[in-house]
Amino acid sequence: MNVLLVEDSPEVSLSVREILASAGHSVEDAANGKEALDKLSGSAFDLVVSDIWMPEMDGIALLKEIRGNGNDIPVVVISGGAPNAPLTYTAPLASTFGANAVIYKPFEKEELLQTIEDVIGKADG
Amino acid sequence: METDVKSMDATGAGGPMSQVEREIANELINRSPAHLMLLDGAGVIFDINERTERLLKRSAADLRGSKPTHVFAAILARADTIGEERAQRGFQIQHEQAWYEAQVYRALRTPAAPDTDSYVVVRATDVTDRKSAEFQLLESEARLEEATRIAQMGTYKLYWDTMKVIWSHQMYEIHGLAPDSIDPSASRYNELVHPDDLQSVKEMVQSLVSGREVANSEYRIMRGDGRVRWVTVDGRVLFDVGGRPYATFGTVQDVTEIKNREERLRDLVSRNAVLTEALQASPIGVAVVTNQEDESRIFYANAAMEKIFGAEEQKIIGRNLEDFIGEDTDRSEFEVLTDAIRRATHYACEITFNRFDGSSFLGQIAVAPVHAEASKAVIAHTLIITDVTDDRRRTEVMMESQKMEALGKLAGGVAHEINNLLQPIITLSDLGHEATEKDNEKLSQYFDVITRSGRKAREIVRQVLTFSRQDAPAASFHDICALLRDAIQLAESGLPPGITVTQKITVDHAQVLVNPTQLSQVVINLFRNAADAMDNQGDIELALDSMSEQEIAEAHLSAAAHSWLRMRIMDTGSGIEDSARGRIFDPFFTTKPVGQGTGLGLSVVYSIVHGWGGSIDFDSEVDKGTTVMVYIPEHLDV
Repeated sequence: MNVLLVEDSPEVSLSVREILASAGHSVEDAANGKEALDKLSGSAFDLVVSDIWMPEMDGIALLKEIRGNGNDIPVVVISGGAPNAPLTYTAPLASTFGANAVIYKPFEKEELLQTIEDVIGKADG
Repeated sequence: METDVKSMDATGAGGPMSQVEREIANELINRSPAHLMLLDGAGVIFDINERTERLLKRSAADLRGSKPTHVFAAILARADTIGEERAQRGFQIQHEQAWYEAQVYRALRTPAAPDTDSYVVVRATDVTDRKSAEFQLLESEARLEEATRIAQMGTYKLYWDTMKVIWSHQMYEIHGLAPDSIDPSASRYNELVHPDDLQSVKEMVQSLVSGREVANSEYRIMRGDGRVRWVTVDGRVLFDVGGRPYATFGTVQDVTEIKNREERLRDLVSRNAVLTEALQASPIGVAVVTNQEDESRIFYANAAMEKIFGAEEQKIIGRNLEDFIGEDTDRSEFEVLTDAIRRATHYACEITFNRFDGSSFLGQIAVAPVHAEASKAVIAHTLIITDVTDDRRRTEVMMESQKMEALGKLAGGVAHEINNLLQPIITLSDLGHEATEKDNEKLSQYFDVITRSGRKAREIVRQVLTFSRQDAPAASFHDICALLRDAIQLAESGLPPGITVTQKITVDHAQVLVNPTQLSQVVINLFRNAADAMDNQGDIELALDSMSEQEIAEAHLSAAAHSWLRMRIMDTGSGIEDSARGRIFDPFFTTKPVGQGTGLGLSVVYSIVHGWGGSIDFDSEVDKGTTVMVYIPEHLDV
């Protein structure tokens, strides 16, 4: 699968790329929402894995743009916040902004891969 | 009388009298009601009549040949001093407590003494009774004169036959004229009357001359010195002995000062009435308290005060301030307050008061001493009480909520950073462990420890976040319509007076999963922003309706919730600048001047609404207004 990884932290980016690579996916990096939009318009991807809090354009704005353009590419959000934390944007991500799944950092290798499998399985089914 | 009357021709022109004429003359003299004494040319008595005999208790025979004594001597003495003419006209004389009307006739001959050349007849009539009546009259006139002078009252008399008017000295003074300087007839008097009152004065004069009484007729006069004065006039009719009216008599009094005083009193009374009404209408509780013998008793309480204490005025007035203090009251604070009243100083504080029904409220109270107008003595204390229970609750909600949000933000921010650091620690150590486990047991073990430490750290971070969330209020199922009405009421009471709120709730009943306090928080914050945007002047509209499927799709809301409610808060204020649009929900972002906004209001609203699984958005046009849309999922199957 061609995965677009949107993450501003190089260390997190490296970690996630390693997990994805270990499962045989090819990974393209983007440091923020704007870069991601450029790359999405340039080449075809099967999946977007995106952080939320990023400079320039954050993950929510990116989701709005993707869905606003009518693009239904699966998006897995990797959030730095905690699930159900009162002040993070994570709770309504899926319901309001159209993320296919949300997982919370720091996650396990298996957690990410299983989530991707679920999302792709659903999208294909 | 023994002397025969020979001739009554006092002028001396007649001839000798007949016997019959003499008898008649003697009889007339004898029976005269006056006391008569006849003297010869040398002033010696030669006869007295019977009445004189009784007066002097002496007979004519006894006195004949002697000089007159008693009142007759006095009459003769006076007659000499006051002159011939007056003596013949008669005069009055006092002798031994009695008054006599006296007359002395001089004649050449008298019938009683026909042979003498010159005679004197002295006549004395006792007029003591009449005299005393005259005295009484004089005395009463003098008393009236004195009374009118003291009362600055003028008197007038109008004689009907000649239409002549006579004024007392005071009348001229009242009208600012020199005594006797004008003829006070009716036509001249009109010139002294204020033109506006001339008609009524003419009617009054008409009444007086036609014999009707006039009482307390008031009008203005223009004095000789140009001053306008108010006078009051009365008049009554005088009758002659035969009962026929012949004159009108009355008094005139300058009542300008009295009228001015009355005017001032009326002004004062109406001013007082206005002030009392204003106090009654005041939305702030106002009372007047007197402090006597260390007791602060309520002397006055306005309508707002009654409302605050939930009692009729009568129940509050006369009570001691102490009666409104309950168990919840901070005694020491109350002591400070009563001490301030005792010392007549200004003081303000917050105290918990008891209502009549036993409930209590937090009152903001201020006292100020009231000074008597003239002296500087403190006569009472003004006391202002405002029920600030709601204000305090609102502030507490705000502060608590903002504190929690700030704390949560801090924890969330720190957690985010640590989570991002933990991700590579866990992932890379995990991958490192996998890569090394066959070759290097030691290195593999190192990676394993790093991975497990990272996972422990992750748990701690999550626990901290969960802990910080424990203070977040619990949500439960409520009918949003009822909650919203309460929330609006609470929010509205904290709005500036220039702001009105219009409710358009078109939903009857809808279950939502929210925390009531948080809903109030949302409404309070959004109302406050709307009021600020309108410079505290205008109408805020709050609408609640159900959303159609199309509307749900357009608002990018999840279809997971089958039904959505939309709460819109609309203002006609300044709108949101383009540059601010992307940041209005950010914490610490504010367009308000430094110190006037925390920049937390909308981020609090944002997180609360998202905590309900809802969403928030806005439409805004600069200088036209802003509409904030709060989308709340409805829970149908509860």
